[in-house]
Amino acid sequence: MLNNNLVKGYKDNIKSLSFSDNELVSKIRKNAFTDFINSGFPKAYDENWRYTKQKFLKEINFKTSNHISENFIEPELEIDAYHLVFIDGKFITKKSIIPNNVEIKSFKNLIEGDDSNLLKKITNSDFVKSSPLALLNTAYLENGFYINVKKDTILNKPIHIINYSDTADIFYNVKYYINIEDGSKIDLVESCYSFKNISYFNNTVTEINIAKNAIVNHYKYQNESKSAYHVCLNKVTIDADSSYENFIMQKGGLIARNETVIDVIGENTNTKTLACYMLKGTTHSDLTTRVNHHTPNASSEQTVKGVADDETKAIFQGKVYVARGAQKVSGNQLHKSLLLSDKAEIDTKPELEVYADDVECSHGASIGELDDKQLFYLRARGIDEELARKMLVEAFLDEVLEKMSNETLRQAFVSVIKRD
Amino acid sequence: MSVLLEIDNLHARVDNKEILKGFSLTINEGETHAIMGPNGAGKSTLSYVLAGREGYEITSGTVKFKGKNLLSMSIEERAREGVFLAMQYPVEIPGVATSTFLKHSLNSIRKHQGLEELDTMNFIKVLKQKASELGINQDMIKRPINVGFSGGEKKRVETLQMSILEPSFAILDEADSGLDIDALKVVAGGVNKLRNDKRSMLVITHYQRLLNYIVPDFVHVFADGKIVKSGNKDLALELEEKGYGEFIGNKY
Amino acid sequence: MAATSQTKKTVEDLGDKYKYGFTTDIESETAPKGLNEDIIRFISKKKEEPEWLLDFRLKAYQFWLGLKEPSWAKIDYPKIDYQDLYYYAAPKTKEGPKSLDEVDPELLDTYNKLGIPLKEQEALAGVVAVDAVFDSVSVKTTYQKQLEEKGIIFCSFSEAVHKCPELVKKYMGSVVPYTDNYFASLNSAVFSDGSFVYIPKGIKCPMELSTYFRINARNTGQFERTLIIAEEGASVSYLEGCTAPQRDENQLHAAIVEIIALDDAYVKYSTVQNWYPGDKDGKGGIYNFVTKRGACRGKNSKISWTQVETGSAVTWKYPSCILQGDNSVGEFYSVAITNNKQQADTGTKMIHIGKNTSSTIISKGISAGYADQTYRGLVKVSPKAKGARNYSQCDSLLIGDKCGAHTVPYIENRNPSAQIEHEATTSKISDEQLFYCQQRGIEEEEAVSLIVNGFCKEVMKHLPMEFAIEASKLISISLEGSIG
Repeated sequence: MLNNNLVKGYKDNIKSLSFSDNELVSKIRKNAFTDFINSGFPKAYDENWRYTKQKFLKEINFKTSNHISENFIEPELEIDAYHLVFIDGKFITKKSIIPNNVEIKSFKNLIEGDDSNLLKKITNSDFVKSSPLALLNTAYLENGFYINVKKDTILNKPIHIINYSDTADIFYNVKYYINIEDGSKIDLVESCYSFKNISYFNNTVTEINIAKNAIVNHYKYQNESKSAYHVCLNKVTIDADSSYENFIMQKGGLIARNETVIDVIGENTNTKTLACYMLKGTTHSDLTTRVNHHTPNASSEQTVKGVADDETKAIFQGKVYVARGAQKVSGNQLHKSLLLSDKAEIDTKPELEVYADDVECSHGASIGELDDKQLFYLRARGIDEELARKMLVEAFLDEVLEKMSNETLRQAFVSVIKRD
Repeated sequence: MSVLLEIDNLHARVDNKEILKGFSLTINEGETHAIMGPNGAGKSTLSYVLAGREGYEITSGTVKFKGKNLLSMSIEERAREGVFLAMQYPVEIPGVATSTFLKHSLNSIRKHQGLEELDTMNFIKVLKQKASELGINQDMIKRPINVGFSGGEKKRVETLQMSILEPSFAILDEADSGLDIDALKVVAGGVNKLRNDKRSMLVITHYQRLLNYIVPDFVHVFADGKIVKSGNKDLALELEEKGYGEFIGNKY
Repeated sequence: MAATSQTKKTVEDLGDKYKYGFTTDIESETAPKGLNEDIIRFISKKKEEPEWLLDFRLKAYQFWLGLKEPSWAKIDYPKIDYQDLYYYAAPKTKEGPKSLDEVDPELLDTYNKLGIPLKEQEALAGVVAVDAVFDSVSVKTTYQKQLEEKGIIFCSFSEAVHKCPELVKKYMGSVVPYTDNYFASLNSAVFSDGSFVYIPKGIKCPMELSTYFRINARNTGQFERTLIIAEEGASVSYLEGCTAPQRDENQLHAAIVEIIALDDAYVKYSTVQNWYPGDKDGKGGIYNFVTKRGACRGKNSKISWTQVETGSAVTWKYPSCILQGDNSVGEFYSVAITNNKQQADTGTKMIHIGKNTSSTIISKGISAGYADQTYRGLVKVSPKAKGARNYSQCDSLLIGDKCGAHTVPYIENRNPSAQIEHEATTSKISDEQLFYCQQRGIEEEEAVSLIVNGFCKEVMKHLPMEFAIEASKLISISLEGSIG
């Protein structure tokens, strides 16, 4: 581990980061780094990392960069939204459009505004302490946001977090900490992408706390460079009477891993985690989701569909956990996938861990190929094979997309698929 | 003629909501009573309360069955004493053959009555005979009970169960729901065959149609948790003609 | 594991829940406690084994020394002190019994209590041949003669070592190598006895073969080893039953079963596992760490596992199929019931290697009391397994709010023409179903047993008839006290 530049070169790396002279920031970074050294990278026997060999983390030898790129290409998702723009993990104020009825503070604001309590809160959650990559993220703390949606705020447009990568061979860390107070309703969209064939390592951590009676849609589009490493950790807490809907479209990256942990801590909640993946080339995609039901009377649904072509590897690990006493929970999970190439691989592990008896939990998984009969039927109507395949794949993925409740955003994602 | 069932001023609630509000009814041996009422009047609650289903809180009133306190008995004790509930939506039990289910049921009741339990051979003989009388084919009794049965098949199998268990008191909860006219005739025919001067029945229904086939001795209008009017079979026709509003005010 | 408690409880005061909880008062001959090379040499010598077998044991032992006990399963038990166990216990007799008359009457009595048709005339109309393994030693194999006429070898493992060493040498460890896992290595080092079955080419075994395993001696680990070889076109149905007396301390059972099916061969392996589960507070009971695996080596071969697991305090067991031959078929039908403080982590592995291989997994788990149960299964399709098919269904039923039921399937596919389907549900017995049964006069406990038996039907129908009846009763017994 010590040979790794992220670790061995840590002292040099952080020198190039902003706020290195700030005492609190230095302390936060140092503590997190010490904890990270103690915990190490995720272990080979960690079930969450079963199908993504964590070895690559140790072999990455990128550096942090203080260069601020001016190149920016508009995101593929075309939506009318507020913008928070990051290039190479650095927040670009002038390109951003910030809503006025939501409290949004960049880390720069927090640090310069001397809001040390908030800064500590953001960087010191139990979740951060329990996860090596979140610790690493904090050890390199520089860019990110604290977003607070006040009570009963209804946002008229989505907040689009745009994360564009432009510089090769760098390691960057972004952190979002989002509080949603009672009775609010917001749509969050994230785009992580690059149009260059460059390698970099994007390590993002997102924490979302949803209070009571709120509605949150959280959608993500991932189309990183074919040589990039994208490791994203999400932690969501949902309180009573709230709904949280997560959707991920996973396309790019050399290794792209998205892990989401959802803790349901109040009754009458609704949780939906949706994802689709379309993998080509040599992408290794890992979607790992865990929904923890700590309280009774809740429903959660996980639906994931995807296709793996060429030499790609697709992984879905989903877990529904129902704690003792969390009665009347319905937890359903479905993973359907198509394996389109001899050299591709799909691994899946849909898991149920249930300690309450009055529950209805289920999961289903299937792996297959495109239906020959359907393909034949389309071709017999004069459609060429390539188009026929594309149509069938789109139709296959549509089952996930049609579950999205924000219709405008759904359309934007559908257009991206169609454009491919 | 002796009294079989005596319900006196019964009050019952579900989830803190009062459904039965002073329900009284006396049924003598051999009588068939019909209870008619609009949806939501609490008809199904009445049948569940009599059968002893959990989740219903009896706040006052008494129910005597053959002179005994019915309300203090467990579900299966009531069944063994002769209370049979033909359910509106019979429950599916995957993997449990209809014949197995009925054998367990019959022998539980026989044991309670001090009769010898039937062995499989004898039981199947009885079952086959009764099934063919009701036009139920042999394959069906091997299938898991109610699983994948059509509405008509379910009601037929309920009737089959009644004919085998020979209860002294049968509650038929919406026995005609989901049945076409042919199926209705078969079910009603089966029920009528079981009527005798000892066995009593309580037919709960929303429509008068069923009562053309199972002709009751008495008809009661049930609304707002109690009986608001009683009469003979003509009352049902009157109800059909005028609607429930006439009897219970414009509330419904 | 430590056998500190020396309380000698007799059957009478042990209660009547566990029907098989009697002990047999037979003088047994044991090796000294503990495990080392000398003990292994002792076992080997006792059995007059050839040098190659001793070597195999010693190699396994050396390998085992370097291993750590696995901890990935969702089971929790106190650390086992492997030096505080007897690795060899045999009923004391002068020589191996030549006929039934020479078998210790006490032992025969034990088997009668177990309902095993040991005496040939008592056998169920001649349908079952039995090899009874008592503690570590095979006591008596019935029907040997009739089987021999067909060229079928059905004997104790130790006997086979002498009778057909070349077969044992060729196949032993070829499916479960001694390096396979911790418990398999341990077994390979110290295995005492077990059953051996060889069905020659083209022969369909005319009767069901059955082994009854019983742990009797105190503080004794039981390490039996079963090897079944079905040559081309051969077929056999094999039944395994297990019981153990009630004891306050835990007993270790670490067995290996290896099955080899060549071209067009069919082996059906059925188990009713009813080892003592411990009492309602989790005291005592068997630790059941078993490696069972079958290799479908030949084309069109088929191996089918059916198990009804109601016993043991802790179960760690994954009967698996390696589908090497083209068109080979693997099946796993399982009912597992855990009640009180039992824990089970069980499932299967289906490894698809050959073309057009198919596998079916039906698992029904019932958890009651304070029990915890996990289905853990792997379906793996290798790049060459063109046209592979798998269907898995895992349903769990929870009875009461203090137990747990978990489903952990791993599916790994590397062939685009493979079709894999997996379904799982977790639920409880519905109030409607219970009410319906009770309204028909059926008592609650009987209703639960009826509903659970229905829930398990798909698996139970794969058991041989006489086993199915026993298993169905066992389900009812196992669930006693789980309601209310």
